Amino acid sequence: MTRRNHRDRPLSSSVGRLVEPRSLGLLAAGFYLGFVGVLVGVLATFTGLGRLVGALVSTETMTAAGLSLGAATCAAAASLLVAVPAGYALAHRRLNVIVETLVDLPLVLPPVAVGIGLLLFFQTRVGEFLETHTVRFVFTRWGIVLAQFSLTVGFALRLVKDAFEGVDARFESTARTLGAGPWAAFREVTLPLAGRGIATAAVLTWARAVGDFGATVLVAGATRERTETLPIAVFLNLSAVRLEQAVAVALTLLLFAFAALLLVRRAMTRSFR
Amino acid sequence: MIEVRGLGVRVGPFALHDVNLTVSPAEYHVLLGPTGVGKSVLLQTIAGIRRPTSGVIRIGGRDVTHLPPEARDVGFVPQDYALFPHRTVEENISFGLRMRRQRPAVVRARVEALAAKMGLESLLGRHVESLSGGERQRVALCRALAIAPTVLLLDEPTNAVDPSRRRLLWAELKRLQRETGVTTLHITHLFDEALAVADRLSVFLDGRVRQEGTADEVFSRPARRDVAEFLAVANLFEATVERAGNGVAHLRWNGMLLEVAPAPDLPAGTRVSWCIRPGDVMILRPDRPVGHPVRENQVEGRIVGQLPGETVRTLWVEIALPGETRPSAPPTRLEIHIPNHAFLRLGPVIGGTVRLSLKRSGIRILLDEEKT
Repeated sequence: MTRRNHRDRPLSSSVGRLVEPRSLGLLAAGFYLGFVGVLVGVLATFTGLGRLVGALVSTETMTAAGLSLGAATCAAAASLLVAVPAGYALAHRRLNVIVETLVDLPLVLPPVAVGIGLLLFFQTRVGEFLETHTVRFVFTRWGIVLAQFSLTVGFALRLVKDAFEGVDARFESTARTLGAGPWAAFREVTLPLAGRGIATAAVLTWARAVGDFGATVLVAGATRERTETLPIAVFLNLSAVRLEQAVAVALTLLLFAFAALLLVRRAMTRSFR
Repeated sequence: MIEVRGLGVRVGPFALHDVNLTVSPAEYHVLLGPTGVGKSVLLQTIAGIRRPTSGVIRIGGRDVTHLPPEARDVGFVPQDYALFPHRTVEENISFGLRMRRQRPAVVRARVEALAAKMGLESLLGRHVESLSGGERQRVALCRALAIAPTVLLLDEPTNAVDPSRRRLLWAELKRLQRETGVTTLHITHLFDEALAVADRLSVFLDGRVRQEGTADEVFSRPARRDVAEFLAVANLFEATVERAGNGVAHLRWNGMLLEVAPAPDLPAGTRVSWCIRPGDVMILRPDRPVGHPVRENQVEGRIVGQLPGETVRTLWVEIALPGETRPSAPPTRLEIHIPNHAFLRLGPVIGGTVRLSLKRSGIRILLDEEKT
């Protein structure tokens, strides 16, 4: 062959390495980390350390943080309570394309739309009946949990379903031939093998719940120190033009989220080698 | 024992209809068939992982058709073994016993005894990811045998094993089956494997058992053309029955009349397939014309190819059949196996002319699909 494609020519090694997928990916990862760093840096340098600590230990922030943690944990737990059995049932099953899309729909639903949906629901007879005979949701702390649950349950289902789909169905059927009943096979084989994926789903679900503003504010309102989660505290301080306080609360939220994610990650690596 | 009667299974667009299979107690039975014909589906249905749409499955005389897998008492080794990756070797082997709520001391004793028998003691504490293909196969087998099952079901058990290690595993499988006496159904697409382990074998084609018998019976005397084709039987031809009766048949093979005995009684004019094993074609030596034991069905031909082997030499001989009408037809070619020492005394090889005799007892008449 006399004619050589110009692509066959060996690139000079350093330039060649730069355009390899992995190197380009590292560049992208570096950009992302830098981007996050700048955002946090802007927030962190906006206010002095003294003010930050002051805002952190203020009653308002502490109450909001406690409420945020409690509500998001309740909501994520409730979401998983639905998502784990539903995800297990829907995994390894050829679903109707409409059903499959419906499962994915909540992922793109804006939180505000979820909030409006819930508010309208409590205007109906069924909603009113529930409110008078069970718990009050609208403008209460239960409303926060409900809003966050509604926002995250579809998200959790999608992730948990994927986690179960990652476990080869033959493990469970082989366990059955060895004498395990359906419950034992699920508990001993499928659940532990999907464990890492479910734990990831739990963390992401919790994170989505903690960060929610739109759904929470519509259902639970923004009553200072009553239905005030951390994102709502940021909003309340902003609307009262207390910019430094708002930034301090936002940083608190970041700090809490970082600590929580770190803890969960540590626990996960310990239990799943 | 395993009895499958009139079994139907549906898996998406794929379906098995009216499958019948019998495995006698303590027998090592091989279900041999090409890949993708539903052998695995059949095995999974016997294990209870798939529900049949019709038919009956009996294991050890008990109707298990509608029982869940855990109540069937089968030892199942799936393809690629499905060892639990989150458990150690010991935990994998003891899984069935723990599910049967055996006391820990009993479990430990049984696992240790079995592991010793299979040479797995040193692996007990290992995680399954670190095992080789052969080690995985033995662990999967050990796990299935730990529950002392009524029947053992093996799905292509040496598929994930290095081919050079297979012979060792065949010997091991055979030894374990003899020692435990467990009724075994083993499915494979490998002829060597079937010949190595089977007491009896069934050839599974197009979703049906097409022939059942000892390995020797099936390989040397395929009953049908499709079985012969699947087993890649050399020397498969077609002919017409000229006359048949009293256990002797004469077949018209182009211009030549072939004598076959023993042979079934068939009406004259029937189109049949026939085959002859390469070892049943004799080369008549021109220097010893008198007193040669076999003189039946003589035909002349020219050696066109040869291939050395460990003990036998393979020769291909093109033969000119009298009365072959179409000159454009591909020449008829016979494959012949002769012992290496006989080959050395043969004289001229490629291009040489030889006289052949087709042993009349070596010719096997195959009935076509529709007639069985």
